[in-house]
Amino acid sequence: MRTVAAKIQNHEKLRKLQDELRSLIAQADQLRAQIDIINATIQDLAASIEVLEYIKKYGEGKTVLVPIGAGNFIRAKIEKPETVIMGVGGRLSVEVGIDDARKMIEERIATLEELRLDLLRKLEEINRKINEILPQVEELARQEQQK
Amino acid sequence: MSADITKLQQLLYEYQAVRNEIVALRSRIAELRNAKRILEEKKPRTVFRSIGPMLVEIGLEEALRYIEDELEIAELRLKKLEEQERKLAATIKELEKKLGIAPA
Repeated sequence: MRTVAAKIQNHEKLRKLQDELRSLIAQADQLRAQIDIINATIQDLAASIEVLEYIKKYGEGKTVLVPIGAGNFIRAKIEKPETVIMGVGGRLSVEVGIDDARKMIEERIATLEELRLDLLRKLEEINRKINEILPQVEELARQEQQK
Repeated sequence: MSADITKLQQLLYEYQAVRNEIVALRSRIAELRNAKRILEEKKPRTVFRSIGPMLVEIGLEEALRYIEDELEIAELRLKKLEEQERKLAATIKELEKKLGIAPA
């Protein structure tokens, strides 16, 4: 009788741990996806800074190739290099000085880096929990198979 | 029993879709409020609004009006969705209780 009760208890514990493990794995996947998006955004912002530096250095009148989609370009001359049209969210953009634009981009990068660090810490904590639970699940599953 | 399980699955799917829309709306509202804050701080004379792939020049007042309108629409929609979320959660809880399963 006690063996049957123990079996049921083991099975119940295994089921609960498996559920917890699945939930943790899903959370880890979600965090990884968010980190990937942040990384891509930081790269994009860093590329913007590179363009601003170039524009500031080579200035007005320089001919550049502007992408128009599908790998096609048109020639264009840089006009008014001292200002940049910058997105502020909500499908709106404003014209700001090149140095202000650079500062705002750098601030966004710093905010995103903080957020990334926070997510990485959470991911580390979840991975630690997964590594704690996984051997227990394996052991309980092994015991259940033996019975 | 089987019909109840199918119904529960549908409700959970619907609940997740509502949750996703709520998250997207909250993010849109935060983005609009941030844009409003920037515009009010910087007070630029010209603002550009993206319409498809184009940027159209508009005045500051028009931009602020646009933000207010968009915020009103988004906040109304959010309220409706939050209400829908509460109702769905209650129905799901009831059905889970009836089926004797732990809350998802």
